[in-house]
Amino acid sequence: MGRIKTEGMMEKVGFDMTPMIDCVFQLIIFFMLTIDFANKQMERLTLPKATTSVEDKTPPEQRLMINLSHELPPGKNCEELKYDNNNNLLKACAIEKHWKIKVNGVEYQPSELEALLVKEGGKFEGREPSPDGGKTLGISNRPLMIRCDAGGIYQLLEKIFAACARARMWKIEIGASRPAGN
Amino acid sequence: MGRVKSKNVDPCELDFTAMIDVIFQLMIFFMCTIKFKSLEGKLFSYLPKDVGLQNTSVPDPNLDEVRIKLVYDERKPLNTKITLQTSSNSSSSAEVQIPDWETLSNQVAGHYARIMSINAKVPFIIDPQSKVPLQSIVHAMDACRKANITDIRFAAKSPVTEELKR
Repeated sequence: MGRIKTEGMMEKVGFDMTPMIDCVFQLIIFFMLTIDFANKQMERLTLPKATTSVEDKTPPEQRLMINLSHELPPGKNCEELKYDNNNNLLKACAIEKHWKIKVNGVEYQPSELEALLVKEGGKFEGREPSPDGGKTLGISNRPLMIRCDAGGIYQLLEKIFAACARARMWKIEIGASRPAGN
Repeated sequence: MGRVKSKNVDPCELDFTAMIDVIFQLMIFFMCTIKFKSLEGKLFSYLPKDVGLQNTSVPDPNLDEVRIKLVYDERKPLNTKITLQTSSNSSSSAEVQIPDWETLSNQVAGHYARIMSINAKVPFIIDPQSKVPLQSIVHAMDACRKANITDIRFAAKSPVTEELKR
């Protein structure tokens, strides 16, 4: 076979990056608009510190999370609640209306919380049979975590505990962080 | 087959400028939005399954118990005055003021060791006033957990107690 002469026949090869850049920008815009940065289950709050707290490495999927967070309308500040630079509590806020009970980003009043827990407690594994033949609720083994701000007051936690007790939910964990150096 | 001569072929060049632009955009985007997950901890606080609804009142202090009283006091650290109260059926109750959480932990551990030595089942009750900060309550729980106490209860006062009686 003879040699093929290709002199002068090759086209100039080049990469046109413009469509790729277009696509990438489209993707960026799409993700920026659709991404949900907020983890609805976990409100941003300062957990109380406890040296004996256990790392929450494998949280059960069906665990319910109740948040007690300090929230004010935009532009308003609370003079009560104070932390130092290391997030150690200096002063708690005892103003009840500054505190919100939230589950999955939705605010609940204590009475509404009870209704929610009654409903949610029956999901997944369901409830144990009631000892009095259905007159009262059976015990729910669904785990539940209460994440409360260190600067909250017991009055609020007491209400959550009461709602849990009435909804017959007993498997309660309290969110806590480890102090620095532990 | 013979070799293909490609003498006059233009050099193939990649223009990286656009790609670098995109990568920088992405880097800035992720640097601004990234949030490192801080692993949180938890304290087990299981409620008793057999008591609570029907028997909602706080056990009478005359019964055998160890009660950690947390009283709101603005002069104290964390606005909390700590008192440890022990009581029994046979003798009168004793109340001790505790200066700090470390001392509380030691005192509670001492009581627990004494209780365990006689194989008694005595609840440790955390009895906070309504305005006591949650950090103090967690400190009290922490003190009990350090002593390996598992039977920790919370005192509930009215109106919650009354509500629970419904």
